[in-house]
Amino acid sequence: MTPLRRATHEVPGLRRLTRSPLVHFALLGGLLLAARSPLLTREHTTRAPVVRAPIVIPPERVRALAEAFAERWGRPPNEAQQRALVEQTAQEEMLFREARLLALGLGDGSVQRRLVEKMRVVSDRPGRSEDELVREAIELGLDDDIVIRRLLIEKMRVVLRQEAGDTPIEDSELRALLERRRDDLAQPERITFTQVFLGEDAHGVQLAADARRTLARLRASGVAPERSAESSDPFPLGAQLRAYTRAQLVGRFGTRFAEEVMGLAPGVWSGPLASPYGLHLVRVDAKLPARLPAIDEVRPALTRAVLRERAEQSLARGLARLRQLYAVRVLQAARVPVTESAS
Amino acid sequence: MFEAVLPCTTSEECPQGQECGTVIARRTGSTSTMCVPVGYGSALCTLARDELTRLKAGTAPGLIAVPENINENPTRVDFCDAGPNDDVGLRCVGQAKNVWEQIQHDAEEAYDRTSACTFTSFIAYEYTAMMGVGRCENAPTVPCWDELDTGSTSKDCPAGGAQLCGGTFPGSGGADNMHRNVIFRNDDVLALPISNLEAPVGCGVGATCDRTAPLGSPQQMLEELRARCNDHPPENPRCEALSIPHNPNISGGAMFLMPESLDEARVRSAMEPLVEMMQIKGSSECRYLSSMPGAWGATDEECSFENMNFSRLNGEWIAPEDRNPDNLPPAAYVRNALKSGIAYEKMQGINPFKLGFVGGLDNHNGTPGQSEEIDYARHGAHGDQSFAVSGQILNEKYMLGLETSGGGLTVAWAEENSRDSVFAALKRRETYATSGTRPIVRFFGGPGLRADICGCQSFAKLGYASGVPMGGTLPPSGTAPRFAVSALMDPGWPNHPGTKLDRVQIIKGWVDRSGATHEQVFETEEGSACGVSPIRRGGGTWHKKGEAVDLHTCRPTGLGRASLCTVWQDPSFDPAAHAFYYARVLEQPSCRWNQYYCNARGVDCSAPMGVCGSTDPALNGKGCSSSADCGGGVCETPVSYTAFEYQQCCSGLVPATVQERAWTSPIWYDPTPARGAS
Repeated sequence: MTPLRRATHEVPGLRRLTRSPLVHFALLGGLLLAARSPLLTREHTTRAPVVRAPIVIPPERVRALAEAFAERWGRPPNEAQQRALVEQTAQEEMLFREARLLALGLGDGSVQRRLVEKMRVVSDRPGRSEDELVREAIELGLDDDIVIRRLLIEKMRVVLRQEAGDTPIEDSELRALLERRRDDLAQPERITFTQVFLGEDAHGVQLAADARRTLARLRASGVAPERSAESSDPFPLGAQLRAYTRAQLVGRFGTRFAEEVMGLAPGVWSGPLASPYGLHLVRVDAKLPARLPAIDEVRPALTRAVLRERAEQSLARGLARLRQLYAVRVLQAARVPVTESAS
Repeated sequence: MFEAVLPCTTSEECPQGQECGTVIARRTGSTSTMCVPVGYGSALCTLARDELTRLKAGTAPGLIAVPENINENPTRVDFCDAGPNDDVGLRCVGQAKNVWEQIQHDAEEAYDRTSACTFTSFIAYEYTAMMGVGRCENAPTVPCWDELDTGSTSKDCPAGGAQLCGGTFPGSGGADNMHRNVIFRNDDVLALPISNLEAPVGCGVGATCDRTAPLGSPQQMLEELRARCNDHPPENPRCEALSIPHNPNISGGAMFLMPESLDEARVRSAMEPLVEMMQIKGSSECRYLSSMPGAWGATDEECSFENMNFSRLNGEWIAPEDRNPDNLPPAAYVRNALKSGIAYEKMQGINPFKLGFVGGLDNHNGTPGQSEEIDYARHGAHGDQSFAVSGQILNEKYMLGLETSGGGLTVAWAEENSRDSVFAALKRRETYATSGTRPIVRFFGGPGLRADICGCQSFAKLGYASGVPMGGTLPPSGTAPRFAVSALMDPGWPNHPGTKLDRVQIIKGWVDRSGATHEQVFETEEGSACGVSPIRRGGGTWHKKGEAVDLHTCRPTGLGRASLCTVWQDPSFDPAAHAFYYARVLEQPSCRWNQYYCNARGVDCSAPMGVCGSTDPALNGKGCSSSADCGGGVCETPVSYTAFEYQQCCSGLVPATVQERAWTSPIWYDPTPARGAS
């Protein structure tokens, strides 16, 4: 099965895997490394950009893009979406051309098979060796083909991602990522508190008054935490709730209770705080502030994330660099250029 | 599923193995020509795309599931073969491996391995064996293997099955669901899951049946799983797995056929500690019909809860007049399996069905934990490919229609939120199932349990110290055991208050001296305070079931308790009898999903369905329930609902309310001295 075919056959969850750079690396191997062009290297971009032939997008292509979008999403693209579709088309054309310059199709099994198949249909001598058929196909321009195009575009993206290289990942890089993604990766604030619970079922209409009286008693006598339970109605989660996060408190006691408890000063009896269960008198025993995990706790996840980031940044850099080489012309039906960009 | 991306005009433009075919856009219905895999446009594939992902009763699921899932001797379909000499279906094996590796990768990404333990994922898969026909011994309720091999004898039916297996029954469509969820303890998992293709439940029609495992049994799969994983072979030294029978209520009774051998009983006992009590396709606890109480073993009216009227997966809907134990086999229900299990244990010394309880969604939406009724009314099952965009949502005869529920949840009492700790809790059955809400429930049992435990702050600590928790086993004792249940209501979520609790029941099952099984449901009383005096001051029992919800707003009206606690002692304890006890905690009634749906559509069943549009001024504008009420005119419904929606919403086919509940795993009493300790 060719890589291309696999990708189109798979269930959606798999597509991510087959699109992942690692898989492509394995598939494409050293060939790509050998094919890397000096055009792509950093020092080259300091010279004046070599301007390639402009990318021209004809009106029927623009219309086809809009139609395909409408078919897929049930409505025509808006202006921004239309611009994005055109930009994506231009980018793919650019990647295809660059891939051809790098001869990424050379020696590629899928490309060769495709060319051989086509030549066997069109050639007057289909029985020749595969190498000969491929050579003739290229001479005839049969390699500008929708399948080969798709394949080369993807290979070009892999090449650009791969430019990230295999520089060892330093702890400093992991630390920077951890800092940057602090909101996702931080371990949440936790709170431990002791409660005296007064249930509606047990106290009925006296609930609020009983709670105030009990609170006054707790405050006045400085009751030790382990003795305070004697004033409490039984509560299935116990008298002390340990290391609860805000989210856990919200899930079990509701938003209001959670906000109130998280805001309490430690060491003193507060309340009464209402929950769906009744009233709670609360003494915060400890607050564990939110913290970033140590690198060693999350090293594998951070490493995966760094590699992903490097690859995507490298791809973005490469695309931007190549984009400088191209002007894009989007033609209207009257064949008058309506937009022109050479960013 | 394949997504066409390459436009084409001829097949020449398509990659190898693909052809240029017509693709219909799902949303717009417009067609275009795109490269598609060879065979994409075949009748089978077209049908499959339309039907398979919805798990809807149709032709394509049958055409693919018959060879792969339902056949007694399953094989992969032809397009799996990589070449003329491939009889394994290597293409599909390769794809299966890709999926399995992706599952492992995703599970790892989702798992928080830090000490914060914020989220735990497991690597797991579903074993999807089904039987198109059943074991002879289960005839005549299920057509047996030998119906296909009329008259001859076989391993399954040594006396020849034809005369036993002649009958067909109304639910004969579909297949006996013998699905299992296989869950691994850690990331040391099998290279490929053991599916029903490698370990089938049958041995093939007309094939020489030389397998040692019985037909219609998970024995072969479980034994392979044990050998290749739980026995820690060198390839998988840390492997450990358990298997959870899933959706037994649509197994046609096949899920809990009595073991044919001690080997089968042993492997089931070792590998299957849990059973799925509840999921969107109904409750599996028990079944009850007021017109024939006890027909399925239970005289317990709470057993009419969320009973699906299908006996088999994708089977035919069983009409009210056909609902009897022949068509809806009692063996499909968990309570009966628990009873069969202890009866077997009394004779053979091992319990093949020692099952704790879990709940699941199975809604195929990729939304774990989304069990709220109001969410089900919005999203339904199987994503937008089924009833969110389909009138079938209200069709009681549709497998994923009106009779489905919001789905269940599992709670495991674990020391911490980690794979190891949660898996250990699953294994020792320290779990409870809920019908979708999130109450907290504790359950302990033991003769030494304090009678005043309910009043004590340290309920759990005392429970562990003086009894066994849910899922445990009590050793022989001359004293009747006490059971204590403590429950705290689901608090709800912002703008959606939880429903208060109604009461706690204890369900007991036991085997008498003759070997016959029995069951009884006990209502409980409120427990007393730690020390002596009762907690409550208002007096009265907690049996205050009433209309506790406003059907128009679906807001609770305040009846019930925020928490419940009880201590119950078995009044008819026989120290020599095998028994099990589990607790069922009932909430007050709340809106079932269909009521949310009907409210959202503006259906008011106290008003007529529509108004007449008629040229006759006497009829024009008059309320109507059909066009027949409007003379020659038309009964017009408001734009917010259709006539079908009004009719189904107001038909009473399913209740407008649901009494959500939790079921704790049982505590068993084992009178056998040597083995009793848990």
